[in-house]
Amino acid sequence: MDIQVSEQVIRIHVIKMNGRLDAFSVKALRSKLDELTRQGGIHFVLDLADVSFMDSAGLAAMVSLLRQVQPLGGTVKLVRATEANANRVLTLTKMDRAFPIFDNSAAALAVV
Amino acid sequence: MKTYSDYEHWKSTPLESDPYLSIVIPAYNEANRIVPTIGAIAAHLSGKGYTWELIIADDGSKDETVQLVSSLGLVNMRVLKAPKNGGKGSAVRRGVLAARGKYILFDDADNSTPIEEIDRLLPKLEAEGFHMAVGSRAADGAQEGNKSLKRKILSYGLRFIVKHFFRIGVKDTQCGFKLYTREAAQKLHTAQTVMGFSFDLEILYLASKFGMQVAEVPVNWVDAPGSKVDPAKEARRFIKDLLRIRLNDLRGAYHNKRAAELRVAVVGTHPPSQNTLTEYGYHFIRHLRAKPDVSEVILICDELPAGESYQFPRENGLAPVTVVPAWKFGAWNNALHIWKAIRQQKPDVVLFNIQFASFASSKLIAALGLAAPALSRAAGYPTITLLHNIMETVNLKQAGFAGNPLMETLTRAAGKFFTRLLLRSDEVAVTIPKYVEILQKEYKTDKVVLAPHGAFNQTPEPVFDPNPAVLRLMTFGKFGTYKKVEDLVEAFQKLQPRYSQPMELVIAGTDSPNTPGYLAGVQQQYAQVNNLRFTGYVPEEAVAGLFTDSTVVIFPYTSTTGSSGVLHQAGEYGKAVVLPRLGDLAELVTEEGYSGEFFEPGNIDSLVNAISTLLDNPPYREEMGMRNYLAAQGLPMADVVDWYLVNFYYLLAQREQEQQPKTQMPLTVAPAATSRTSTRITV
Repeated sequence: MDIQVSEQVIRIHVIKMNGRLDAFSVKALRSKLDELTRQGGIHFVLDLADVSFMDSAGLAAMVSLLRQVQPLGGTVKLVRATEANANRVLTLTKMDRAFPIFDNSAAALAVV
Repeated sequence: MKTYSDYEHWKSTPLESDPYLSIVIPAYNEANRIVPTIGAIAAHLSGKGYTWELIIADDGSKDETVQLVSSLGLVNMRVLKAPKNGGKGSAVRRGVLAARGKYILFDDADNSTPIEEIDRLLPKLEAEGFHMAVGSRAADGAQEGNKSLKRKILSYGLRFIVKHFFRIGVKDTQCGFKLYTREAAQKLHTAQTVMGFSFDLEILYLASKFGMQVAEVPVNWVDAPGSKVDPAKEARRFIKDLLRIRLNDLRGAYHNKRAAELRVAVVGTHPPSQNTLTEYGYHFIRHLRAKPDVSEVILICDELPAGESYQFPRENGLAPVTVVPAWKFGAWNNALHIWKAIRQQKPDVVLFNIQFASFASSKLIAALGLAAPALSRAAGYPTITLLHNIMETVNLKQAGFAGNPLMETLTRAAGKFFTRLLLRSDEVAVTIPKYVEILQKEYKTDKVVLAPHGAFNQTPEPVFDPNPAVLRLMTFGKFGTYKKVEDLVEAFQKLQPRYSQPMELVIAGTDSPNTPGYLAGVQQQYAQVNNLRFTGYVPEEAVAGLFTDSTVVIFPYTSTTGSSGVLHQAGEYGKAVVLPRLGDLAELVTEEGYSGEFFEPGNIDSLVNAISTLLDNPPYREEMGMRNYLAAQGLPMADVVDWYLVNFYYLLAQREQEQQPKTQMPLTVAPAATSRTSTRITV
């Protein structure tokens, strides 16, 4: 009998944000994402659960990340915001069909 | 000594922008050889006068390679650590795709091709326009030192197969010294499937398939001691990989649209055309061309007057533009001509950049042009229409229908009909959230998406001048329809005597194509007003100066307009703005974070007050300018273009799915990982 065991490790960055994610605060998120992708990170979970408001600029940082990592075989998953204000821009732009969206980060991490 | 000081600077000062050159070194257990290689590279490149970065793409080294290079403390060197060995091709791929340089060199860790050879490769890309230059040990003029007999036999055998069975012109496919433009590198390594020894061959095969120009440059080469190639073993793998590449191609594996193969048609205007939306069209196409997955932009635009032409010089890193002047402002059959041009060009996707009056000033003829998106989609092309204004928010009374209820009703009904026609596109994109909600409600459709305007340029932080020598008021646009300058000139006349500093009112831009002769009339009417300047057409290179020299930017609009390109430009240059209290602009201010001083449209005193509020209070002006600057920086147009591409890929995937046999079960992939690590970060 042959027994084959393989262990694979996938590095996933879970980024949790809170408060407003808008044109004025997005710079911090962009520079953090930039730093992580420069280090070779390609799998991300962006946890919006505690984000109270998100505008187009906030969403743009996420779409930009998606476009950057997808060709490298990377993934960007979102955790749904509890505030409707933060989800509105996702629905209006239909970007909710570009990202897999989960209720919490544990659920996002459970799916490869 | 300059070289040493440059090295010290490179070692300790992080790059502020994307470098000129990225060097990628794949490394597997290279602890013994890599440091001298890094030293040789740093010694040669310091003092060259260009910026560069170094990327060590580890391939799951089991020795001290990663610790050793990390301990060097070079701020412009990145170490991409791999958890396991995935083959040299996988390391090069990760390194190249992470590189930011205009040019990217992949260089072996053993320094077998001396770094000095880069000086022979760079001019091929820079001056001669090649997409790729490969170091060659087989080209005329190359010198091979220390090459073992076994290795010579392997090289000649492989060259024979490649030339006769693969029709690849490059004689030496395996030399670990290849320079690409970033665009070419991303395109090739995105499509790469071979991760082992023969990945070079696949890259060259793809370069030939994608129609790239490859220069083979003779280089000096030394078979470095400790080289890890076992000739016989590698020859067997090479033959196996050759067959795999051929099979991949036959299966269509390289046809994936994400592998830089997307041909995008843009229907709309572009400078030097003087029709509407040229500024938007110019910047959109500029950003679209820079996307690595876009292989060609097809501009289906209006015909220019004799003697003028569209200019798109070929540039490295930018997709080429094919110009198809297919329609004429005011012609009744524009939709038909656009449809023909699309069918002739066969793009992958089509974007219309239009507004209701894009095709003519006559309402009926303009409306006929609006059938073009429906025809494009009916011909089978995924079609998105970016609609800059919507009928529902146009004030028809101000548009000349006051007192004629029958005409107003008819115009509204026609507007609805043509909006429905535009909704025959796969998607209609609008720039303001409110527009999405209005159209969704009015037409019971789910085809409308929000795609914000975005800032045309990423500009440096503005320098604020609290006491400018001239208080310069500026307005910019195409005037005569809902942008009228009479009230602004009247307000300027009232303002001039109030200030001791010299003042100037700059009216920049041209007539709207719908109102020819309007500005000439205004100029004549106010010929006696001092310090009033009409610039006429503003070429792209003069736009920055126009904004930076202004104290306040004014929007003398009388009707709703959609998202304002000029407001975004004012933001880019950190300007305070005076806006009419109209629905759209107020909405935009709230949604996109801009701020302005508001006036009541049609009320000259209100306009005077709004302008003087800003002129009298430099700190307030500065604060508003900075806020607008930050708002503009928050959403660059380059990102907005990405949104369109994401939407296009969605539409393409949808079409692919529709074409699959219905009986096929959806493919599910079982999770491969048994464990994973995650890092938590709170921003």
